[in-house]
Amino acid sequence: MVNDALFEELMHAHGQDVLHFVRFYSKNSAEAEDLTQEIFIRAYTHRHTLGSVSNAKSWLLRVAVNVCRDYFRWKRRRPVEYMDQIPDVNTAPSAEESAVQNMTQSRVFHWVTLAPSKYKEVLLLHYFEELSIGEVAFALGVSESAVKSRLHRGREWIRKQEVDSDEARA
Amino acid sequence: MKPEHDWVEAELQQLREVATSQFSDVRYTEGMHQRMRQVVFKNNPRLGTRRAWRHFRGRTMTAIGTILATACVLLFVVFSSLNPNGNRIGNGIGPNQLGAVDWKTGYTQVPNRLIADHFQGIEHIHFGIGQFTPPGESISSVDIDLTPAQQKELETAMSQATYKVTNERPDSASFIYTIGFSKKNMSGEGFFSQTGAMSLPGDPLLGQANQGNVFAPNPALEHFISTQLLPQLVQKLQDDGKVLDGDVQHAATAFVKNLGVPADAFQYCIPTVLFTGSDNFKTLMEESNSTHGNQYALDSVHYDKSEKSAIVAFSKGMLLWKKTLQVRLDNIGGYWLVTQVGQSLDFAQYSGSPPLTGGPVLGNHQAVIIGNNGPANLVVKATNIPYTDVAISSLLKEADIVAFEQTPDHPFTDSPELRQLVTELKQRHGALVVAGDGAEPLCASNVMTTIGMGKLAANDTTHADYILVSFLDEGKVRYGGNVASSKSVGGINFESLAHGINQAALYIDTDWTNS
Repeated sequence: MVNDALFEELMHAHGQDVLHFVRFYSKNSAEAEDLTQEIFIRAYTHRHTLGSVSNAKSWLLRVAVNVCRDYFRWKRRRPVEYMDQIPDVNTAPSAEESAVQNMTQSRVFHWVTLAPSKYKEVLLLHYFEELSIGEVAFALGVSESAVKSRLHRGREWIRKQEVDSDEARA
Repeated sequence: MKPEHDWVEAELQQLREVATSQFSDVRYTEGMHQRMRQVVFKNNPRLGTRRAWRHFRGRTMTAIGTILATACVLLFVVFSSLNPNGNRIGNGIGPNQLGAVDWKTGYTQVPNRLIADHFQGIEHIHFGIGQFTPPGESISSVDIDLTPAQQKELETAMSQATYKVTNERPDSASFIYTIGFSKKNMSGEGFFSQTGAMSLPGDPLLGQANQGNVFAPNPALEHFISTQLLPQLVQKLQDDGKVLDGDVQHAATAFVKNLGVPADAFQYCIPTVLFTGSDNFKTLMEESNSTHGNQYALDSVHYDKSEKSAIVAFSKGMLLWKKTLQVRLDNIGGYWLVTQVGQSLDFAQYSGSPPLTGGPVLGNHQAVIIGNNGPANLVVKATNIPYTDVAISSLLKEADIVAFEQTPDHPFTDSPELRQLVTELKQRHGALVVAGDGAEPLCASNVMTTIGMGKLAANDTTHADYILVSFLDEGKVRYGGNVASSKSVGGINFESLAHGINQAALYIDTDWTNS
C-alpha cells in the first residue's frame, strides 16, 4: 500500500507528465489543471491498485486516460456548444504569433491533437510519454498487439490527413 | 515500416520535444502541487479515522435519505392512484409538476391519466389567434363555452392524449396559435395563471404550461377541434366582426395540422415583441449596423420582400429557452455568455455537484436569468427570490449578467429583499443586473437597469444600458403573447427603438440559423 509520503513523491515525480498529457488531450489549460487534480484524487483513492512503484507512471497515466475519457464522455452528454469557431478577441493570437507558431509547430503535433481519441491515446502515451508498448497496453487496458495496431493506424491516419491537406492546398 | 511512414515516424519521435516547447507555459509548479496536495490529502475522507468516520457517516446518511425519498415517492404514487379524481397536480399541469425534462431527448412523457384528470369538467375554451394581423386589427383571443356534450367529447379526446414537454424551439411560424382550456369558474388572469392551461404553441401568459408542451398525434382531439371548436370559433369571430380575410381559416388550418405533429412540434414561449413593417425594420437594422458594425445582425434575419414584412423579435427571455444557444456579446470587451442554458440554470443540478466549472461555463462567465418563465426546475418566483439559497447564490456569484423576469401572476415588487439582492449582485459580484418586462418600477427607482420591452414599449430606450436583441431565422417568429396585442405593437416607436439600440452598450445577437 502506498503511503502518503510515497504518493506525494509520485505526484512530484509525474505531475508534469500527467499535466502535459491532459493538456495535450484536452487542448485546454484550465481543463488540464482541473483534470490533473481529479486524476490525483482518483489515483489516491485507488492507490491500493498500484502494484509496483516502478510501474507508477504508466499506472498514473492509466488513471489519467480513464479520467479524461469519463470527463469527455460526460461533457458530450451535456448540451453545450462551445464557441470555438468564434475566436476570443482577448486570446486569439496575432498574425505574427500565428506565423511563428506555424513555423515552430510540427505537422504531426497538429494532427495528433486532432486525431480520434483511440489513436491519440496510443500516440501520446508512446511518443509523448515515451512509454513502451507494454506500458501503453497496461495504461489503456488493451493487449500489446492492439497497441501496435493502433499505433500503425494512427500513423496512417496522420499521413492521410497530411496528404489530404496538401491536396486541398494545391 | 513503410517508407511513407518515415517522416511521420520521424516527427513522432520529436513529439515530446515539440509538445514540451508548445506547453512551456503549462508546468506542474510547486504552487500547483501544494494546491493539489491540499485537495488530495486534506480533503480526502479516506484519510484519518475521524475523516473516515465522517465519510462513513455521510454515506450512511445519504443512503438513508435515498431510501426515505424513494419510499416517499412510492407512497405518493400509491396514494395518488387510489384517488384518481384528486387534484394531485395542484392547480394545473406544468412541467415543474410533471418532472424534469429529459434533456437528452427533450421530452418528458406524461401519463395520460394526468391529462384526463385535468380535463375533466372543462367548460370553456380560449383560443388565441391574430398575431399576424396588422396593428390595431389583431384579435387577441376568443373564448368559447362548451356544451355538456362537447365537454364529454373533449374529455374523451384528452384521455387519449400523450402529453410531452420539451424546451426546444418550434421550427415553424405556424406555431403561433394557442389554445387554452379552463374551468368555468376561472376567468381573466386567473384563467391563465391557475388552470395550467395547455398550449400547443406558446403563450407566455400561460405560465408553467407554456414551457414546451406539445401533444402527440391525437385523432380524437383533432377531430373535436376541427369539427366542433373551429366552426364555433369562426362563427364567433364573424359575429364579432373580427374576421380578417383568410386569417382565421389560415389559423384554423395550421392549428389543426399542427395537432398531429409530435416529434417536430416544438413549443417555445418567450416574451417577444413582434414587428411587422419592412421599412421600419430595415431602417432600424441598418442604423444599428452602421453604428456597431454588426453585419451579422441583418444577415441573420430573413427579410422577405415578397411578403412585405420582416419579423424581428426582441426578447429578454429567449436565453432561457435554448439549450445550446450560441450567444455572442459584442462591444463589451470579450464577455461570453453561457450557452448551456438549460443545464446551467437547472438549480436542482446545481444544488450539488458538478461545480460551476467545466461544461456549462464559457470562460469564467455565467449568465443567470431569474424568473418564472424558465425551463423545468427553474422557477424562482419573482416575489420570493430565495437568494439566500446556497445553490442560487453560487450561481449568482458566478454570473456576469443577471436578468430578472416576471409574468403577470408573479410581478416584481420593490421589496427591501430584492433591493438587497440587486445591490449585492452589483457591488459584491460586479454583475450586470438587468430587469425584464414588468420591472419598470425597479428601473424607475434605479434599482435595476432595464432591458427589453418594458422600456421599448414606452418609447424610452435612450437610457437603457442593455438590450437583448434576438433575431429569428427565416422570418419565423414565436408568438409574443400580450405584447403582440394591438396596443403594444402599435405602440412601438421604431425611431426610438433604433436610437435605444444604438445607445446600448451591450448588444446581443442570437443567431438561430445555426442552432
